[in-house]
Amino acid sequence: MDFVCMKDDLVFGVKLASYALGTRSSMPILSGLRMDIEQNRLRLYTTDLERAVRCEIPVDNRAGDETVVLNGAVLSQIAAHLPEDDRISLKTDAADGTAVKLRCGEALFDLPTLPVEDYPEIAALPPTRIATLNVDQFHHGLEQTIFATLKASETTRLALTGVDIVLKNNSAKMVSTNGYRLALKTIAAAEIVEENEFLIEAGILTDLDRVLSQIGSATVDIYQGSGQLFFQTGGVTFVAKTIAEEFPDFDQVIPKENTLALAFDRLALLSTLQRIEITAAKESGAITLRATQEESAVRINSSSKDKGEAEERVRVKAVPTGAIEIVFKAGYLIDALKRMNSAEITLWLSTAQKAGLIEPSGGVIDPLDEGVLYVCMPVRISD
Amino acid sequence: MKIHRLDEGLARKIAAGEVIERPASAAKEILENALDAKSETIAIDLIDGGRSLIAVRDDGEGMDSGDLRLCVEKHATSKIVQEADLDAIATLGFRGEALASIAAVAQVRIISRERGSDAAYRVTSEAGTVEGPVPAARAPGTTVEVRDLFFNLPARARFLGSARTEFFHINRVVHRLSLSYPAVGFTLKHGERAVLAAPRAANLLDRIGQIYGAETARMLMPIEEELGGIRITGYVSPPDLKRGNRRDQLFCINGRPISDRTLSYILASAYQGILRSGAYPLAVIRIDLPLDAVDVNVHPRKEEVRFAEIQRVRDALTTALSRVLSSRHVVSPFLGQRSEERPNHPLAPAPSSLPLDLRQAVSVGQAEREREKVRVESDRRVIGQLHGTYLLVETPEGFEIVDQHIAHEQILYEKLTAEFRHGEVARQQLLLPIRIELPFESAEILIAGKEELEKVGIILDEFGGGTFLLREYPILLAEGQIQYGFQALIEKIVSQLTRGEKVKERLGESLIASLACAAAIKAGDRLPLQEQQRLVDQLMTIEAPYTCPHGRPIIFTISQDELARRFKRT
Ligand SMILES: Nc1ncnc2c1ncn2[C@@H]1O[C@H](COP(=O)(O)OP(=O)(O)O)[C@@H](O)[C@H]1O
Ligand SMILES: [Mg+2]
Repeated sequence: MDFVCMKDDLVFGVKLASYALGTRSSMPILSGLRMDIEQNRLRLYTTDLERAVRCEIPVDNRAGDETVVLNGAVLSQIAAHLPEDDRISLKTDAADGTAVKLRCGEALFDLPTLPVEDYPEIAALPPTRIATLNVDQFHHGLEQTIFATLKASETTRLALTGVDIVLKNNSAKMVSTNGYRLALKTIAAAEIVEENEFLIEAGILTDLDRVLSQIGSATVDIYQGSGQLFFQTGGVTFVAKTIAEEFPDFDQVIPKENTLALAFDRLALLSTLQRIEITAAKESGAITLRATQEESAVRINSSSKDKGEAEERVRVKAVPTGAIEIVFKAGYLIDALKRMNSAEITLWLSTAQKAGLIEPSGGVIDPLDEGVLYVCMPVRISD
Repeated sequence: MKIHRLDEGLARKIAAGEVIERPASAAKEILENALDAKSETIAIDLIDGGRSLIAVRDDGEGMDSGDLRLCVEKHATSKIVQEADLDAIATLGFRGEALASIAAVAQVRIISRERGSDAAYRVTSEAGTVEGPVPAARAPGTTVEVRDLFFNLPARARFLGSARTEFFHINRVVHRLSLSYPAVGFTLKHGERAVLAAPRAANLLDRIGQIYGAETARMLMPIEEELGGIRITGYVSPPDLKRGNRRDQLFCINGRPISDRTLSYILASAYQGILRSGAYPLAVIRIDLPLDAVDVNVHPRKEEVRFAEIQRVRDALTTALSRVLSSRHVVSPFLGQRSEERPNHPLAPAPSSLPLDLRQAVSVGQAEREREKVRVESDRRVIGQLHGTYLLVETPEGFEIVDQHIAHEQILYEKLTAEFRHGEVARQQLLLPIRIELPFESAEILIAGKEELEKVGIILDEFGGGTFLLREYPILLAEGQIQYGFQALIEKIVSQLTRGEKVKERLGESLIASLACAAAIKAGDRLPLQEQQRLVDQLMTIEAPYTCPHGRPIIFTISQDELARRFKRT
């Protein structure tokens, strides 16, 4: 191997690739970054078997095609500290190819290689594209759903650790739930070639989101392979393992017969909830909302033996059309309000036993909030 | 004509009970009939998750007009004649009940042409009223169409899941049967969507590939064993191919897919130490043994069997599994790290020395503390976690080692008990009620204990046939409980309720103890420093922080004096 390339290209590639660098000590080869030289292209590849990143950069190749694996962590540290110079060169050093010389300006690194034959097989990009999404919208969708999942360490019910992505009717629906509340966001898709549904772990999606934000393309193409989704844009492919698990039937839990609409100023409600949560019982965080037909306000209160009590009135846009007293876990409402952007939101309720639904409302809905919806089950104290 | 009515005496000897619970149960029975009829290919069409239509077409033996007339009647079967036949059942069906039960709750149409005959006939039945047979047209084989299941039982119909849920169950039935019969071709359509096209496969591995994907099939490891007349064959997953539940585990006894706790347990034990808890292997395991060594007449849904000599089955299976799991160089790419992160059996500290690198623990703790901005509320400062299981705490008097699981359990126990005593256990409602299935006797016990459970914050709806829906759960435990699943917990509660009579007044507390234990942080769970500190702070606010209700110690203290003595500072 012997090539020269633009420093910025390589730094960029190594940075993206580092998102899928393995860290498990039991499979040291996964800490490697694989480099394939093919004519005048360098392909960088990393995987931790849950996700993979592949990207291509142009190089000036001075020898034949070759593959080496280098320590990825070392390489990304080097990439972050390279001296001022436009170019960088890599050259196999020892006769048996067990080391690579990396040169940039006056800096010279001698890097040992890892055994190529140990590196896992690289899944090829499947032939058919199933959809194209707008990166910005996809990003907002992830932001407004990932928070409602559980961490992989918190559950063995894998469906609750992921965001379900439903590609259908020219839109992508993203849904997540922890079993008690659910976040849903629908974005318009640039194109849906094949209707389908996938469940991907939230941690992987967070990394995908980061990678996409660095690339800065407007759209991302999605391909489907066996148990994996391939997100491709600007010469970079992010491969995400899908969860082979059925996602709960979310349509069924979205309440449809809401009789009571409470329109709040979002930030006013948020800060009230944050205050009232202080005196709620620590683990449950239960707060009570009380609306009557007498005033255009909702009273929110909480109490616990050791912390005391608090109550506050929050204005609603109109006098409620019915009375209700309902209890929620404050944290669940706060989570959702924090991730919305609109000035006004409406909390839809029917009875104290039925789910509440939050959606942005008012004359102008912030574009970032389009297609967003949140469902939360109430808490019951006694009958 | 091959079908006849069973005499009453024999009919009574057959495990009876409700079998048609949902579209999937109807689909299972009809598919079993098609397989019993030696079909080569079977096509299934569903509409609306099977709620509106389940249609199964086969190319099997078929029925003549007399058979057609009889097949929808109770206790009418071609599969057994006399009582002795029950000891050696080679077919999937034998109760002669299924078509009758389906016909009682749906609109059924059956068209069949016997192999070797020119004539096809049709019968229809609506809520049990049979019409026909009348001449019809069809290639040899049978078509069974079931429309509008439970149309005459609106209460049952209402309890059915969404089309998607019901479809999911049918899909699972199809998977299980098709894995049991690789040589039979299956197609499955849901509405316009072709969901499965599995042509006749040459062997089990090819069929697994059709169902789970070629990639998965390629990774699987074959098992094979013959021991004392018991033959075990099949495929199991390597450690890096795992599932989050047992759904992809199939045991197939003489061609019959069944569920069996002992077998599941043997499988789980074989993977112990290979998979972390909560991860399950994928397995398709066939067990073939003489027909009289296994009783299939134990469960109305024919999903369970009883082995004459379970010990021999156990031995054969254990040997088969241990051979493949130990002989091969089985190393999991995910495992190494997982097991480092969460050791299941932390090494017990050697008695004479302190097995801690204190300096390292302290400095790591501080660095993390900086990063996480951990607030210390009490005079107890958590330094870090040992083996993912114990918290190391600095106190003015010396230091303490806290068992994180028991500590958390005790906190939850005290808080829930306090709510319980005031009769105000706060319950979080579930977004989607969780389905819990219990054997008949357990179900009865649970129904009887309903009130006790409500007092501790568990609201279950009975749904019939051993099925319950869990709708509400104590909010104190809600997020913790998600981790380990509700089914096992409810089973444990049932066993407590069984003993409940004697300790009536303490039943609530004892239920709470189980709930708290199930929801508490486990040994081996890595916690961020913030949470470690929070746990210790909380522990200090409860009444009995030092011992748990079962008398196990929570905190182990080493005084400064003790430390000084050990380091010979005095
Ligand atoms: N697809 C089929 N092809 C041929 N015969 C069938 C088919 N389905 C049902 N039968 C006949 O109808 C009878 C009754 O079926 P069923 O009620 O399921 O009882 P069982 O399967 O227990 O005998 C069977 O014994 C069989 O003879
Ligand atoms: Mg049958």
